[in-house]
Amino acid sequence: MTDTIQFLLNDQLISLTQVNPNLTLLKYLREQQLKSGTKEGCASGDCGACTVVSVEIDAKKSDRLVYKSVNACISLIGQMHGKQVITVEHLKQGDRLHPVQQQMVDHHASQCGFCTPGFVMSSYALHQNNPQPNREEVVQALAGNLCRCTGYRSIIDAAMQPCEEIAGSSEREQSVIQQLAAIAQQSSLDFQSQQRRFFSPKTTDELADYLVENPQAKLVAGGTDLVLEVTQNLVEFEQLVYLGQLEALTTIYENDQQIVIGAAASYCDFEPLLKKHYPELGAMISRIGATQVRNTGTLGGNIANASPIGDMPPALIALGARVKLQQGDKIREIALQDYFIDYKKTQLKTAEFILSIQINKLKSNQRLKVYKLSKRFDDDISAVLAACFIELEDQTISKIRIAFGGMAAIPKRASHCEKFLLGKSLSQNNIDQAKRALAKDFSPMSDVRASADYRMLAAQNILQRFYLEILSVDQTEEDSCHLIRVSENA
Amino acid sequence: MRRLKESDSNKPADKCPQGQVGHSRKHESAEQHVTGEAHYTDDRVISTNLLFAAVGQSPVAHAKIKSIDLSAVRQAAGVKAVITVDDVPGDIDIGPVFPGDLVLAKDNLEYVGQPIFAVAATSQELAKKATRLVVIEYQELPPVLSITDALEQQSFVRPSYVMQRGDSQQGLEQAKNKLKGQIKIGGQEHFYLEGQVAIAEPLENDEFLIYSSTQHPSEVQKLVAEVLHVSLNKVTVETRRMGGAFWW
Repeated sequence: MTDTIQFLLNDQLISLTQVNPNLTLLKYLREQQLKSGTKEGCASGDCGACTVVSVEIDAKKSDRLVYKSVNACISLIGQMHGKQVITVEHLKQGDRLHPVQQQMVDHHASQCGFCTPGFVMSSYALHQNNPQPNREEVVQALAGNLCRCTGYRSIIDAAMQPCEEIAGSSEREQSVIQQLAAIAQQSSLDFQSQQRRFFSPKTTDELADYLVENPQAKLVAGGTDLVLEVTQNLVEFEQLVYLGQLEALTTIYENDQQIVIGAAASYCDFEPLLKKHYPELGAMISRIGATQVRNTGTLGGNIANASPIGDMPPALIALGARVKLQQGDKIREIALQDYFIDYKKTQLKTAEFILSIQINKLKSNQRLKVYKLSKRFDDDISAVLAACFIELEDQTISKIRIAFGGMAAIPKRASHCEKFLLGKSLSQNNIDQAKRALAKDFSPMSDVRASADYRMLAAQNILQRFYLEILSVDQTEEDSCHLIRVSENA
Repeated sequence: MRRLKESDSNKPADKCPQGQVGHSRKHESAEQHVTGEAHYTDDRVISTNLLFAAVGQSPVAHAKIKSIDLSAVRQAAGVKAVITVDDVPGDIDIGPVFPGDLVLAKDNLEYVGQPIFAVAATSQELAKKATRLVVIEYQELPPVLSITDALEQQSFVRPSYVMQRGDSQQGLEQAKNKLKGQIKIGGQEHFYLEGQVAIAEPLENDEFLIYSSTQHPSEVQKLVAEVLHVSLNKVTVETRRMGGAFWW
């Protein structure tokens, strides 16, 4: 057990003891290190002005580093243990600007300049991983950074420019790898200050035992939602348990039938695999938060949080996903749809935690479509999220799961609607009746994101769109024709 | 009269320090922006004897204040001072162009977020936490939230005025084609990224040096002097730069 947080701040090894676990990385940088280049904009992970780069050893290739843009405002200091944190102050070498900085200058990509360090860091992370990004990749990398003087065109142009290799950078990377590998050798991290404790276990046994002894401890995975309690509601958590160092919880694997994702795996790590198997879900994931949020946010967090507007649960419920839970030495498995009981109430018992999520792969006669409605394309919370899973045999619906977010106090299946469609053919008449059945399934609420009427009408129209898309895919896309062919031959 | 000179676009940009038509000039602060070296108000290293202020804000859009109990706020950790509108020595109205904007609420609450009282404490967190301990009794009044409601109730911020050219009534009557309809668009705060921030440093002789993220330093000087009931020369306002500004 170590009681010292260790991380690299730029080139400097930092060792901290006796620090309040509720301290955010941004506050530490600005107030204790007086590195004020990293700005505080919204203090809730939306604007990206506080973007720094978190560097880790690549899990798949131990001689390589992975660069992740993260929001310092909602990162806790303990989460940085074993990582390198690069801030905007580190990029310039002597009098020479880093290429991503020089391109921003040359493309007139700053006006008031307040968002600029955040954009620079997002662009830097992108170029470190991918020196010649295309426009799509640039737009994705910058989606979590807001500029209010309206300079996106010039910022995107700047970030599109390829970066030449900086002399000496691979030697510096090797040194970073060595230092991070040394910290990784250490045992679990456990520090406290002012009666506030932070525990970061390395094995599930340690985690399970700790939770049995300290059932009131709060679990923190990515912290992209939890830390808002600290910055917005001024909450000080007494006990925090960080899940990011648990290998068993961050592993992702697949077999012929299933994909299994560790509860503390972050979006950026499982997104490529889900995108490959469920392209429509992949497209939706690229609209969850933005790059900074997906670089830290986790699948288990999105489920455990039990928000009625979490985007992953409806999609996973539609896919029939199951969750594996552990409490002490007891492990159980339940269907994700049964996990949610009522608003923010779940099946999770005291001292129990989510281990992993199992998702079935699609068979050739099965389809999944996911629809996210929100006011902004990126970085926004859904008004309505719909996920429709369908299996067709002989032109007849042999399996159906339609799940919605934003329509009830929990992510929920449209049971009347499903019941009506099951065993029937896909026709406009049946869809019309299914739309009416949907009104029996939900009585959504009105809030800042949408009115109840809008939500219901939009949900019904999504069914229409689903029908038309399935129909047009069958008629136009050759690679999807198997859907109809399978059903003809069945 | 000075004669206009031909722009010589072949002349290197660094030979014309003021810039010239046809030459691309970088933003004067561009290099500070991209390196994080550009200082905004909150980036200043402040002296250790300064306190941090936070304001207690209205939770409702429209109400009449019945009573404010600040005793828990005053007793909160780190709190050194708490003020209400009654503590203001000078003018309480800080409307910059027209009157009607109070520095701290008096008898009525007129919008969500309206400052009601201010706390000075030893840290920003303690100041913010203290503001949440207030107990306010108020009688809620119906708010006027739409233009339709405002017209119906004849509730106007400023006297009505007309901008007119020609006779639109007649023009419409005689128009060959007429289109009729309504459009509603939501309001949008421009959401400049820099938080609202200022530092007030007491100097000798009851003078103040204020660092403010404002588009109008001389207006801040005037309003602060009026609120404090001191002459303008006691207040100096400095604005280095702002994190967002979209005209007025």
